Amino acid sequence: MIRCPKCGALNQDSSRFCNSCGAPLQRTQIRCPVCKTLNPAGNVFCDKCHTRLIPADAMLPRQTESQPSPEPGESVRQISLPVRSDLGKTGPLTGFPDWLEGLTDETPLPPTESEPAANDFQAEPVELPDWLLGILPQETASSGEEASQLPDWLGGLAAPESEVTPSAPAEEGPLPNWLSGLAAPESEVTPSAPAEEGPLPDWLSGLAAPESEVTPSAPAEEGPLPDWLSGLAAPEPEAAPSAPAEEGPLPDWLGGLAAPESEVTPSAPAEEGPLPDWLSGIVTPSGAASAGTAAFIPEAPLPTGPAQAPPAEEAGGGAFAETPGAVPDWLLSLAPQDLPSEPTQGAFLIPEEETEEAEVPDLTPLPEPRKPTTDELARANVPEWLRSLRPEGSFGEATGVGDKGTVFVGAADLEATLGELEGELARAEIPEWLQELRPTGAPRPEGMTLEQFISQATETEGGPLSGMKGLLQPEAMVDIPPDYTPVVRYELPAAVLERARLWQTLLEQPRSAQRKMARRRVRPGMGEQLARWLVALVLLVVGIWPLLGYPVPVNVPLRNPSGLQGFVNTLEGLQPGARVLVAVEYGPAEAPEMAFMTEPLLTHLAARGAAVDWVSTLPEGVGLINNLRKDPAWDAGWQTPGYLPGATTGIASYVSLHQEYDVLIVLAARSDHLRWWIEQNTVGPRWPVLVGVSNAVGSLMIPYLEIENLKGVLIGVQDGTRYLAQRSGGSLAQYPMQRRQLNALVGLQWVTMVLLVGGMLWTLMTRKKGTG
Amino acid sequence: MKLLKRWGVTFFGILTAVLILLGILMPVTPLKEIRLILLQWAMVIAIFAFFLAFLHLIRVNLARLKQFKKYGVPGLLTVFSALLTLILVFIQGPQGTYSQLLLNAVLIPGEAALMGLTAVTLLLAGIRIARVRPAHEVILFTGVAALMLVGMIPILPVLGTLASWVQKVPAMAGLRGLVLGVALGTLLAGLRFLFGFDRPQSEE
Amino acid sequence: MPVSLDLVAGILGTVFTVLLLSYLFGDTVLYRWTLAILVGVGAGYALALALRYLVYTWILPMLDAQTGLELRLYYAIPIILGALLLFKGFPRLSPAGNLSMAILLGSGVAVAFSGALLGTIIPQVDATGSGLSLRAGVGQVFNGVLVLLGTIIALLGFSPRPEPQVGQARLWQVWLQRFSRYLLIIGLAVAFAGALTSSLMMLVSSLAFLLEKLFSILAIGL
Repeated sequence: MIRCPKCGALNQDSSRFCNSCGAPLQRTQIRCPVCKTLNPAGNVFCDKCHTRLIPADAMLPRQTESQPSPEPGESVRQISLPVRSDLGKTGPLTGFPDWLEGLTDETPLPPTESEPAANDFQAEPVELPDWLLGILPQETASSGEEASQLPDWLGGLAAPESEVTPSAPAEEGPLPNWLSGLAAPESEVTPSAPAEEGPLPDWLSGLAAPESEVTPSAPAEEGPLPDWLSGLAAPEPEAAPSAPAEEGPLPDWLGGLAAPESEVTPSAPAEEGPLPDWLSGIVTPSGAASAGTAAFIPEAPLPTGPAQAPPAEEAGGGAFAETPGAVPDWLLSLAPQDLPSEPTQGAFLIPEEETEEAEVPDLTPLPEPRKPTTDELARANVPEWLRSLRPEGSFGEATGVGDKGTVFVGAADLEATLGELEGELARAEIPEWLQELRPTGAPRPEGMTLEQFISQATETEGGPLSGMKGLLQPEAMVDIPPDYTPVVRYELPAAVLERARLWQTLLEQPRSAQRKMARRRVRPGMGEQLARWLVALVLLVVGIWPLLGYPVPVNVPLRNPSGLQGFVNTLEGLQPGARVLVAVEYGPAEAPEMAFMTEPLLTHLAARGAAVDWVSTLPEGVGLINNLRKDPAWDAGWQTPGYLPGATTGIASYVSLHQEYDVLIVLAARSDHLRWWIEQNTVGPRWPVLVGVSNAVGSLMIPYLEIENLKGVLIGVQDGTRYLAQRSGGSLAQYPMQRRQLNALVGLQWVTMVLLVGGMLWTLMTRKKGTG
Repeated sequence: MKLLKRWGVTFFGILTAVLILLGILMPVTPLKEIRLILLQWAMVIAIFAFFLAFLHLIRVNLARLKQFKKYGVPGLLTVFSALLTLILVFIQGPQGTYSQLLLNAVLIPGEAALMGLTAVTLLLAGIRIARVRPAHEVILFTGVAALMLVGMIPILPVLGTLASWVQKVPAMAGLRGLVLGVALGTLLAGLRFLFGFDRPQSEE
Repeated sequence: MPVSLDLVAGILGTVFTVLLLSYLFGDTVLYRWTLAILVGVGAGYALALALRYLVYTWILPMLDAQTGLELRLYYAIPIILGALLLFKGFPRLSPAGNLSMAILLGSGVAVAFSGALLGTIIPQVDATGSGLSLRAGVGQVFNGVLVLLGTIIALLGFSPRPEPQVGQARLWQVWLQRFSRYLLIIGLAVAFAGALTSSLMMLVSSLAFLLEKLFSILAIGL
């Protein structure tokens, strides 16, 4: 677990950011994206499936101007290829690895302004092999000392360098064709031109002088590309022969790479010193490589590349055709027995039997490389893990020595193959820097061959190199001392401690402990208050106006309600002395509204001579009943009103005990009470029911107002006034106050409607998007 | 003993319910009488429940007297008026002078005024719905409410016809669904009590 | 009622009405006091009539010497059970009232159960089917079909069921929920209009009461 340095929260090892506060975390482990295995932070490849954990571009060390270049002593065992970013541009050669960066002349070139960082490759200092050590800037007087440290084949580079002046290139021998064009292709280039452009490496310095001797037409004809590149596109024999002859002396390691025999003076190599080892084999393909020359020739035969072009019989036909110099063994071994007569484009030509005369190999530009064929790919030394991925029927397993000098090697039969090839292949030698990496186990016993020693080693398990023996063990990028013991100190932040204390306090409190809760009285805002005042004012004015008797715009017509006729007809059908049960289910609040229908009902019942029993499940209803029974004429034969406690239980009890009523009249302003009466009447006696309800209950209890035994309904003030008018001869002249109240109610309804719709529209327009 | 303690009371409750239901479904002689007796006993117990609620009201308002500055006077007024009314009305009955005075002078105008206040509150609440509900629902709600307001006591006959149709068809369908849903919920609650899943009497 | 009492009642009623209606313009101390008096009077009035019923209908007959033992027992049992119920007001003695509560709840559940089943569900289903009758005419049948469909849709939307996950709801489920919601909205909008009308009527009656009393006090004809 990783503790966040900012907030102290614990996070998973593979977390990159804190789950609590989002701060970046220093990763101690990396999770493989393929197999999800946790790997140490320094791993480049996954330990389990060998998937690359760190992208290649992230691995490229970036070096800015502010960062000092790493010390030469630091060793990085990475091998990466340089990227050429500014091909063809004049100016300083930037973006090259260190071992190439040293190939600058004494005078440093002016730095260019724009340096694309993405293309820059500035590798960390690499421990250079011997053969490259000499290629360093000869800036100081110690160049001589450095020159003394150079190998033989590079030794010649130092001496002539000290003598090199801006005009030095003019004194050097002729350059091969493919190097002749490295200087600026412009015809106006003078021998002094290289000096103006900055110091060139020795092996390039000789290329500057001959520029003036080069026929201006040749480069000009071929465009902006240097000659050595232009030669890659179309090797022209006519340009090549003259150039090397006219060019200055070559460095030692290039001495052997001079023009073909017809062009190179026999003395050139002698003047320039002995050839480097790796090139010595080019001159003596029979394998007489001097000791130490084949610095990096492997012991195992190299895979064959594209079809090998024969040494160019024609001048400049190939790079190493008819090499005048010695050809290293490893190159010779790659040479096929029967080579095609025609050189193929882009082939890396293996020199054939050289002649003594050809001391300088033909360094004509290589033709354009061609794509390898299927067979050629099949002959490549494919490791076992890759071979296993080969689809069936593609290349097939081929082992043994090919008849053209190619070798088919499988991991399984390496030993046998090695034995067969013992006499045929040149011994490859592991370079010293690679030998240093050899595991320090038991040294190889004397008398034991390398192959035998390797065969004794354990096979590597897992990964792309599984099954191979004698491999170097991967080392962690980060060197952790064996006795390292991480010491973790936990320091809880104050906020966490406080929270823990609070939890403890809360948990320790008894369950029944009363906690004081802060209560804040919410006061309405000013806008709400104003709206309330405005609405209240409007309603009061509109309500009071008709009540004062002032004229109203429209006299409300008394529409004939649909339920009134049934109500009236049922009452009209009562015989004198009929038993009527009236349930008063409204309170003092609804009394004024219900008065519109109760008063005419009572007069009607009295007129029919019905015997009325009054009941109420509300205690206040009993008092209201007494209020209604003010007229003694109504009171004849009426029983004392009864109070039914227990709500629905009381109703159920009453209707069960009393079954003798002819009509049940429910006057309700409470929806539940109406429902109870209708339900218990339906369950029990099933009396004919007349209902008088307020507007609120009438709107809510619509489903109950269409049951089978419901004979009549009066809803609200409008039906009550109509009933009242009908009982009083068809008009409300006798009841002016009721008329005014009706007008006031209608006016208030219209105003309310306008306020409701207007307020809704205003709120919809002004509310924030996304609410609701 | 523990079983009796836990399930004894519930057994009586379920027994009461079952006997009453049997009396409704099979109104034969013993069951019908048992049902009536149980219903009347329940009415009496309900009065005591009402009395308990009254005592709780008194106790709460007396407890508020501790914060006399904030709740003292209203609490005192509530207790005093409740006890005075109880005594007066209990003695005189509903037809008594003071009973009628209290009813006509205090209860009817007071409660009617409170109901009148709800008009403003309802209107403002209807406008405030537009803040929180989706627009199409708000428009539908307000449109129907507005139509019913002007259609209940219509000045124009067409409004009355339209309001009547809305009341009889779509409103009827919606409210009938609501009523059926409430009834089904009541059935479910009753079944839960009958099977002992809910025991509200023992606060479990 | 004596005139003086009538006047007193009028004045008292007017004052109460004015003080309560003053809430329209703000929450005042007088409003809260008036409300407290109203609550007290209402609670006392209701309990007084309920206790009066209890005493006159159950207690006095039980104490009557002429009452037989069985009848006395019949009167006494619910009174004892009710008295036990009063112990519910004391937390420590609360279990004593469990039996009374159980009987009260049992009777309420049974009545509600039977009422819901026999008094609501069956009649409502019957009424829905009656709407499809051809007796009232083709137009009524059309309305009846609409009511039937609407009832089913409203009930389906009202009843609880698992909500489909986002992105997985089918089109018909979405539209079914929408229609049921719309039907419920229409029904509740009608109920809202009715409640608003009732409250407006209360306001009108209160204003009418005020004006009537004011003018009668001021001896001005209305």
